[in-house]
Amino acid sequence: MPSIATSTLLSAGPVLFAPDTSSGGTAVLFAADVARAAIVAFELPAEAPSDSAVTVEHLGTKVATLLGVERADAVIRGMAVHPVSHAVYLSIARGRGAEAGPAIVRVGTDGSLSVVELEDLPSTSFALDDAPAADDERLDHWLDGSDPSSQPREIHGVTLNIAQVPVQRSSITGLAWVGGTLFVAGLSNEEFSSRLRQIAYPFDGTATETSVEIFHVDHGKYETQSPIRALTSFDNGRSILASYTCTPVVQFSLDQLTGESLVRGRTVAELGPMNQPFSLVSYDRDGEEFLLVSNTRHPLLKIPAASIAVQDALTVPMSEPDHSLGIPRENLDHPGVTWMANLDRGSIVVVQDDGVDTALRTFRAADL
Amino acid sequence: MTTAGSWEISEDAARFTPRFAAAPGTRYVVIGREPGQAWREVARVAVPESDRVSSTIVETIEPSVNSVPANLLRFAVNFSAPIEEGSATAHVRLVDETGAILAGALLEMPPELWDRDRRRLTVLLEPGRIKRGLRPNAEAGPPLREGGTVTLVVAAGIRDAEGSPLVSEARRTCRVGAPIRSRIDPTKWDVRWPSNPSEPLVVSFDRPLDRALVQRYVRVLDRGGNPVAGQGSLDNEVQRWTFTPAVAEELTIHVDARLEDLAGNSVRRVFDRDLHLAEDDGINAAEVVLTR
Repeated sequence: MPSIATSTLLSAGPVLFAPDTSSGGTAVLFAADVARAAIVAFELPAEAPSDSAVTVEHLGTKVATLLGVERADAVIRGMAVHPVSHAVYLSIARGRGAEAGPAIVRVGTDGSLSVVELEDLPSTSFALDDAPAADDERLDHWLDGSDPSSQPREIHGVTLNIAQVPVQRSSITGLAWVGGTLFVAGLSNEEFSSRLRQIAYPFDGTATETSVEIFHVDHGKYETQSPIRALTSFDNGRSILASYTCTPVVQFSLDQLTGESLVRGRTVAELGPMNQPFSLVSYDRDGEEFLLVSNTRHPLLKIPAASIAVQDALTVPMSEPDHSLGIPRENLDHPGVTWMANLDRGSIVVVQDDGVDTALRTFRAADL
Repeated sequence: MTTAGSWEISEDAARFTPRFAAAPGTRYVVIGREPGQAWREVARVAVPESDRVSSTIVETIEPSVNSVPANLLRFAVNFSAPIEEGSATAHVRLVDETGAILAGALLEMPPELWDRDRRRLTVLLEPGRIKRGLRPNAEAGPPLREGGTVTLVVAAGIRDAEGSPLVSEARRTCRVGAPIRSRIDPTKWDVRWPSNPSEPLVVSFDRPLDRALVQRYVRVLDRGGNPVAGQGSLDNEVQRWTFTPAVAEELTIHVDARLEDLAGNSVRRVFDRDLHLAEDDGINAAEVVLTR
């Protein structure tokens, strides 16, 4: 079970900083390697504190130029803000063909861009598909010999053609730090189910996996399941808010997620169809907590956290006149917001796309 | 903004080594200035497009069946060589019998679902369109229309890991049949147990199943619970599984409850469970064991 290995990235995916630094100022950047279904934790040397906020115009052009590729060949796949320096770390899929690969670009609060030399950093990794799951007792053996990786093996005096775990692949859609552990949301190429993994850091090779389902109780009739696309912690780390394709918003209580039984989330909002949630963050304004949801089609949405606790699970179908869309939400006039990450509890760094290029901007709570 | 890399300056030349290898087709502008002067363009450099001859093809597209349920959940595309992660999104589409693109029918990528070798891509249909009662299902309808056909098109423009396009576009067309909304029930399978060691075990499923999951979740064990050596094969309709044991054993078939059909219904539960139907209630067992 080689779940701990020093390694670098093969592909770009979501990134996240652990909120606390070591006594020496070392920060931990988690980077999801979506193609390899692994999380790599990089230890970054101490950075100087800053209270400045990041603003970078023409971000897409600058990132592509830095990486030596055309604009279309540098795609942002994740964003995180350094807890001390407030530098923004962007996860980029760069290039194409044989030269394609991931890159992490650091954007300082002075607006400077640089390539993070990942190979120079101490790192550990955690392979999701090799992690033992509590409920997984099956033998990962495939006996028909049709898999290229199958190897003859002698068992009980008989030689078998055995391939191990040939096909199941997880991919990673979101990372969140909740209650001192790393939460990983994703989907699989096989079973269509949603598992929330909790991984302790430093990695010790084990994970707690909880199968989560949502009642798509638009009408209280059909129960379905879906993979989580974006998630964040809120309510002082007591809850997780997750968003799904097409676009229910669902609350899970942290104390439910013990890995023991199937957990059903509470659908508290329906944000509308043919939409993909991009990013979810929580912030404070005037002593009150709010959540922001950025979307592929819908505007940036603001949700008061207090309304989630008192929202009953949605039960009335969209087709009926008295249906509810759940908790109140406000459309914010910040078009083109895609990736979001907390700079602190009162500020959010966003990637904003104006249709020509992208920009990195910092929104203060007062603007939201 | 300058491109990441390092300069080596000698007496008569300045040599730039980019931090990342240059991608085919990329254009660079070299600018320079004399002390005290303004920046000016010194040269333009274009990296040639790759002239590699493409040889990568789509080998198979699953499901391999003739008729898929209207609530089909996924396709899988098997390529002859590794594909570049990230280039699939723009090059895979679903069309109906008139050739019209079924907009919004596929689950948006990324992330793209590749196997370890990046040769097998799983493409999910938009679950919101499949699930009854969800707003996309109510407003836009299910993605596939019963009685029509559906074609998955993989455009030649998808790039392999060397950056080359496919030799040609690939298509797979299936008729669209009635939706399937019930649990897989292995006890309803027709099992022909071998009566002598030379005969195969033949299992006829109650419906076409997901090929990869049959290979993963249907296992033949002996009475002691040990894997039985043998050769398995599945027919094109993924409805009949033949297993020829290498040795004479008392066989049992172990079916993991996570086995799914083409619509995502498993042994454990219906993909789209009707809370008012008792038969849609799931089972808790981890597996179903079939014995002679």
